[in-house]
Amino acid sequence: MPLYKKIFISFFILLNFMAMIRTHMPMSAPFVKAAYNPVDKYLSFFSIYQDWMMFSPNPSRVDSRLSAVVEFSNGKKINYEFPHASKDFIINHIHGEKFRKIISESIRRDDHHYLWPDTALFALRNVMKQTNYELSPLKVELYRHWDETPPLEQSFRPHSYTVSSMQSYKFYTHEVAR
Amino acid sequence: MISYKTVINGWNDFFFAPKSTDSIALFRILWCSLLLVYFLFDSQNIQTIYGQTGLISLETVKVHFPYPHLNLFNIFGNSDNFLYLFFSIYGLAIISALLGFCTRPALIIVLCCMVTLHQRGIWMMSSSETLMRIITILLVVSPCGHSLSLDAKVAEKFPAYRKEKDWAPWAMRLIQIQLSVVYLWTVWQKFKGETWLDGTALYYATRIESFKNFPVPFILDNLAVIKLLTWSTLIIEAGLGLLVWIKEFRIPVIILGIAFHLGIEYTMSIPFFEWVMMVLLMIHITPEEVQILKSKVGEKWVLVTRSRSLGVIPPA
Repeated sequence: MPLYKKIFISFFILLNFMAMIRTHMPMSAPFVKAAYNPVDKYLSFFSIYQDWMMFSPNPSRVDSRLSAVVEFSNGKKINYEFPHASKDFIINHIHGEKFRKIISESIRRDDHHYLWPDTALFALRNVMKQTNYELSPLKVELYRHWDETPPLEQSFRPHSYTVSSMQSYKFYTHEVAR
Repeated sequence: MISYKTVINGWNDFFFAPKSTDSIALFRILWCSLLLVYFLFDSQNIQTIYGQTGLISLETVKVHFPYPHLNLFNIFGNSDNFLYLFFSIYGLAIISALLGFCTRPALIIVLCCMVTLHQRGIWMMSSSETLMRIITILLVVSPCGHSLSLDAKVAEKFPAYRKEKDWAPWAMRLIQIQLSVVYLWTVWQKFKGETWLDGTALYYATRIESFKNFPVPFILDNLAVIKLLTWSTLIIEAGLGLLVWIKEFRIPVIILGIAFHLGIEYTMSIPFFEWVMMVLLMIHITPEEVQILKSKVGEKWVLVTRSRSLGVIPPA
C-alpha cells in the first residue's frame, strides 16, 4: 500500500478513535474543543455521537405511557392511547420501542415541550380517522402516565407483577384552530 | 521503554498487514441480513414515524437540528410517493449489499437511507441504531465485497473486475475495537451507579413493564440470584471487551457472549440490540475459520446435490 494512502487511512482511524472516546473528554477545555472540531462535524453529519449508557449509571425505575383526550364540539370525548412497547408479536417490538423511547426520554420531559404540539396533532389525526372525520374537534389534552418501582427496602415486586393502574398528569392542552 | 519504530511496526502489523477478506465478507452477509430484518419491521413505520402524518413533523426536526447532517428528506421532502420510492431503493440496496452485488455503491445507498430515516426520527433512536450507522460506515470503507459475493463471482469470469482477496484489515480492526469500546464504556458507566455495585440493578431493570419479555419467575424472584446476575453482567461485559482479544479465550468468550445476549433477549424486550451485539461478535471470526466453514458448507452442498441426482433425496 502506498505511504500516502497509509497516512490518510491512519488519520481516519484516529478520527474514529477520537469519536469513541469523546464522551469522556473534557469538552469545555479550549484545546480539546478545537481538536474535536473536525470530529464533531463527522459525528453530527452521520449522527453517530456515542455514549453507551445502556441501563447506566442506574436502570430507570419509571415506566411511562402517554395518552390523549380529544374533545369535540358536541361534548363527546375520545381517548387515544399512544403505541407502547408490548409483549405482542415480535413485529410490534420495534414500533413499540421507538414510541417508548420518545415518550419516556423526550415527550415526558418539560424541556422537550416543543414536541407537544406535534404529539397532540398525531393523536388528533388518529382519533379523527376513527370517527371518519365526522365530528368537529375543540381541543386535545395530553396525559403522561407513570409507574415507579418502589425501592427494594420498601417492597419486593415479583417478576410476574403487572401494573394495574398508573399515576396520571395532564401536561398539555392543544386548542384546535377552527 | 518502547521505541518509536516498535510503535510504528505494531500499528502497521495490526492495521495494515494483509489478511484474507473472507472474515469481513462473512460479517457483511450477517450484518446485511440483520439490516434486512430490521428494514422489514421498520417498514410498518412509514406513516406513523417517517411520513407527513408521522408523530413528529419534518419541520420540527429541521428547526431543532439545524446543523449540517445527512437527511435526504430535507432535500426531497417526505411525500408519500417519495417515501415509498425511498423505501423500495433502500430495501433493494440492502439485498444487493447482502448478495455482494455492486457492494460498495449498495452500501453507500444503505448508509444514506439509514441515516436519513434515523435523523427523521432522531428522538426515537437508541443505541442499536447508533451502532447500525457506525458499523455501516466502516463496512462502506472495507473490502467486504471482495469475497463471498456476486462481485467476486463476476470477477472470476471477467478478470478486469478482479479484486485482491488479501487486504489491509484496518476497517475490520476498527469494528472490533468499536465493539470492545461499547462493552467497556457501558461497564465504566455502570460502575458510577450504586445499584450495579450493590447488585440490585437487574431487579429494577426487570420490573419495568415496557422491558418485560418472557417471564422468568424463579430466577428473577430470588434476590441472591439477582445480585449474582447483576455482578455477572459486569464481569461478562468487561470480559467481552477485553478477553476477546486473547487468542486462547476468543472462542469461549464469543460463545459466552452469545449465550449472555440470548438470555437478555429472552428476558427483556429491547428490540434488536442483542442481535446487533451477537452479529458484531462474529467480527472476531478469523479468515481460517471462515475457510473451514466454507469447505464444510461446500462438502454438504456437494453431498446434497449428489444425493438428489441419485434420487436419494427428493428435489426441493
